[in-house]
Amino acid sequence: MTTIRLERITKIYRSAGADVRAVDDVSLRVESGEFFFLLGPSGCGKTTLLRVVAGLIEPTAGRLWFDDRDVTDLPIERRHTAMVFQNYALWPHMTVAKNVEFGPRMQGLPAARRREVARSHLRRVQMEDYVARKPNQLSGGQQQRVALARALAAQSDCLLLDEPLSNLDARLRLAMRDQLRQLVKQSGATAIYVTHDQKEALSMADRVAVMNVGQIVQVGRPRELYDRPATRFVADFLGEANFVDGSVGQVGELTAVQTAAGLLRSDLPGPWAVGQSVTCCVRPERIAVRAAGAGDASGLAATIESSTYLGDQLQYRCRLGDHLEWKVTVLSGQAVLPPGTRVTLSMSLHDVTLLPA
Amino acid sequence: MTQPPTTLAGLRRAALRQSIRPVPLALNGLLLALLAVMLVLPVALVIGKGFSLAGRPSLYWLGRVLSNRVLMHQVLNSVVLACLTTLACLCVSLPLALLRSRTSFRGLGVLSVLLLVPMILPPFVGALSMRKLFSQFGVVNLLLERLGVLDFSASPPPDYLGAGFAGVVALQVLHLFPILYLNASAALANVDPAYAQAARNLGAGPVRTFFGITLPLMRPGLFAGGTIVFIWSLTDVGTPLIVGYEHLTPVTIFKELARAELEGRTFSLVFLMLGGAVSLYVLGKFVFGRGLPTEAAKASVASQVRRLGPLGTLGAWVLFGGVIFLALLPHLGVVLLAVSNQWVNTVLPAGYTLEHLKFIITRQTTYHSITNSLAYAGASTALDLLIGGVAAWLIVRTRVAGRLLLDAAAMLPLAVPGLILAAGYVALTAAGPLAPYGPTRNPIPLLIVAYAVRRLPFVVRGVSAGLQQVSPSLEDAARTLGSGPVGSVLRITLPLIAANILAAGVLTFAFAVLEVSDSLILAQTRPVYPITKMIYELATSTGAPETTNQAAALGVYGMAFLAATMGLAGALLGKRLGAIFRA
Repeated sequence: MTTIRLERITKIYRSAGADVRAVDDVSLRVESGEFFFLLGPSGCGKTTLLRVVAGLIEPTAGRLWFDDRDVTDLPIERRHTAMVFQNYALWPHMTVAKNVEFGPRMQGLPAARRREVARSHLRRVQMEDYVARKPNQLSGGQQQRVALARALAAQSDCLLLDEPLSNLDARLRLAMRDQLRQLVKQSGATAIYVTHDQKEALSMADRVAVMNVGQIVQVGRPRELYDRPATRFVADFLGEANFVDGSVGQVGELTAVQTAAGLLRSDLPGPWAVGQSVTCCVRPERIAVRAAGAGDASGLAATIESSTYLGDQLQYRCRLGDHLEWKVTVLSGQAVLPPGTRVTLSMSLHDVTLLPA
Repeated sequence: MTQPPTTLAGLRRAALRQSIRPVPLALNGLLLALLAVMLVLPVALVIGKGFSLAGRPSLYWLGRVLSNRVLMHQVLNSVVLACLTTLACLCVSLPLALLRSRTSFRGLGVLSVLLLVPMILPPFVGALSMRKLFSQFGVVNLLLERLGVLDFSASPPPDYLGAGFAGVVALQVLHLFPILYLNASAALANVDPAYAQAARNLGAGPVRTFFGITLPLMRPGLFAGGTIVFIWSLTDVGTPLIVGYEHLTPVTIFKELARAELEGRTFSLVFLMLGGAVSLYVLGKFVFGRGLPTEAAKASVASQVRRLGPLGTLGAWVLFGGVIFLALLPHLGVVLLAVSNQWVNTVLPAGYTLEHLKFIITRQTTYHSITNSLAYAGASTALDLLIGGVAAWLIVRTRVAGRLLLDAAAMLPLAVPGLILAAGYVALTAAGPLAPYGPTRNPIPLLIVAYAVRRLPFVVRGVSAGLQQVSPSLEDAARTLGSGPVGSVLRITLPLIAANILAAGVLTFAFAVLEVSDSLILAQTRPVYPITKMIYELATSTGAPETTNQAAALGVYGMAFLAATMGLAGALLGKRLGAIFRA
């Protein structure tokens, strides 16, 4: 088990006369045995960062440490970081068995021991019956499992996974998530997983680093990131969110913010000052909606614009004031409020997150 | 409007109707019949004559060949030559292809283009200067003596050519390595870099990764190029003739075919060559050359290109430049021979003259050899474009029954060397209705057909590639707007693939001008000599000493012409040029 430390890693590509900062001054620490996720939109630099850790890309600046060893200049094959590639990269001229035996072979294990190690890892991914097949004779899900077995069989201290589920259909992806996490945790290796799928990150990770434009925006546990996003980008990227800008009117135990939709209060601490511009963020599923009654002074006044049936949920589009539109998600099964209905939206003080404007 | 079929039986009926539409079916039949007459029949005659005695099937001639120690030694010699040439080509081309694909350095673009130049310079012509350059008292040893490396008085200088075997191998390697280089480069480009990265990631060093992962995945491309190189080398007759090394089967076949009386033994020998070439082609294409099914049609990760530093760049320049220089050396020698007045025991000619170049275009026989070549090549190219263009359209655009057979037949000339085909035409015209077109009478139609058949695969491949890049929906759009089927092809498709057709035509024409095997064997009377036969006659003449210079001068005209047409083809096809030279 290895602690991985990235110190001010930067990677610059020269393209058509301009410099592109694929990774921009990233510092990060992944604890030993942790299942760490790099999450972000396409082109944010997460795969580049992963490949820097693997040694497949040389950083323009910065250092990389495994425990107390500086491995920045260490060749790929000596880093002991087994990688699962996005397209699996299973060698088409080798059988499943030979693919999985490769890592142990490079470690110098005798043939019998190699076969044993390979079979044991193939058994763990339920692929032991396919040892004699070639990769092109396997389905996508089977190839993914063999690729994982190959990486695990190398028994490295560090496991790197580059969007390993992205080529699977939605149903298989869901099925593989739990299994993948279980296998990685069982191996005990420190693992870094790259994905653009926020549901994957939220459901599998110990900790997540959200990246954007080559930089780390926020690092934290999934729940922290979802409930307490540090920026509008993180809030918007992880699930759906409603935003409204306002000005801090009161600070103290409660922070009150005057917005175009009305007064919003939050009991979450923050470095706010009276008169400061902030953005209020509320998740759609944290809002209660009820038909507006006479003398209803609490909550925000809104009008139902439309509703969308999502199977287990119902999502309302609500207009607040003249221009503001918010989404509200409720469990389906309740009576549907028709468009045009005047409603009151209410939320707990704990569910209003304040973000820098 | 008829409804589309919805049942399996309905789909089958629809497919059957597609496959038996009258016009494509008739065209397909016609082309197959033409290929049967122009290609299959001559080859069948070769086999027939080699396996018959007094009108009856017999293994007599084959037995005569197999029991003849001299002939068998020549066969072995030919195979060894081809193996050495192929292996040497691989050793030269693989490092160059690796450097080209995996590194970048100043001048790489220019060097990559220059590397292909030897492909257009026929070794048959380069052979003219081999003795002048590499014999015991040739230019190379004279230069080394001037530089103080050798001392003629102390010991006799080395004869690099030996009995000529080394010279033939060297010339063939220097001409053919670009084919393997192109195939190796394409093969490397087709191997997803992720495979090598995965191996490195799991602990394999760069050398182990190359031999264990990359090289096996390059196998189809290497075999495709290697097959062409091997077959070419095995059946090359021009180079050994000019170098003067005659202990090879193609040379024996050439000499025996030139005799008035043809023996079945000759055709048995031809059959052995044919059997070897076809077996290798089949093995190369369908066994060793079969592509491994890979998951991704394109690379999943970007290829990591390493920028070389000053020392690395110097090393790369030395490697590229050295190979290019060696490859061009024989042809530089030919140019010097063509313009030299006096060149004996000196590094460079003592005097220069344009008389030899003038002689070629002022003397009737040599001038006519140039016009003959241009005429034959022009006619054969027209035939190729017609047959090859229609074949490509049938193969790519239609579902006509028998199109796969047409595809295979059109590619068959790749497996049948020119020597074999020429022998077949000799057999075809030995007697019967085609006798007036024999080599000693009027072989012009035969020469045109032989040139056309040899180059047909290049045209089919070139035009097919163009058609595959043009979506059929473009023709369909024209049809929905009132254009008929022929009009749609002429107005829409043809302009879009004009560059492919032109490039294929230019290439075909260029190689036909300097065609060797067919020309040497089929053109037996001087009025019909093409360039290559005239070069052979001048080079092997025992008359005036300047005949070698005249042969070189004629070679210079040929090379200049070939260079111009290849340049045009390269400009039209660009990077796709390499795809032409695959089995």
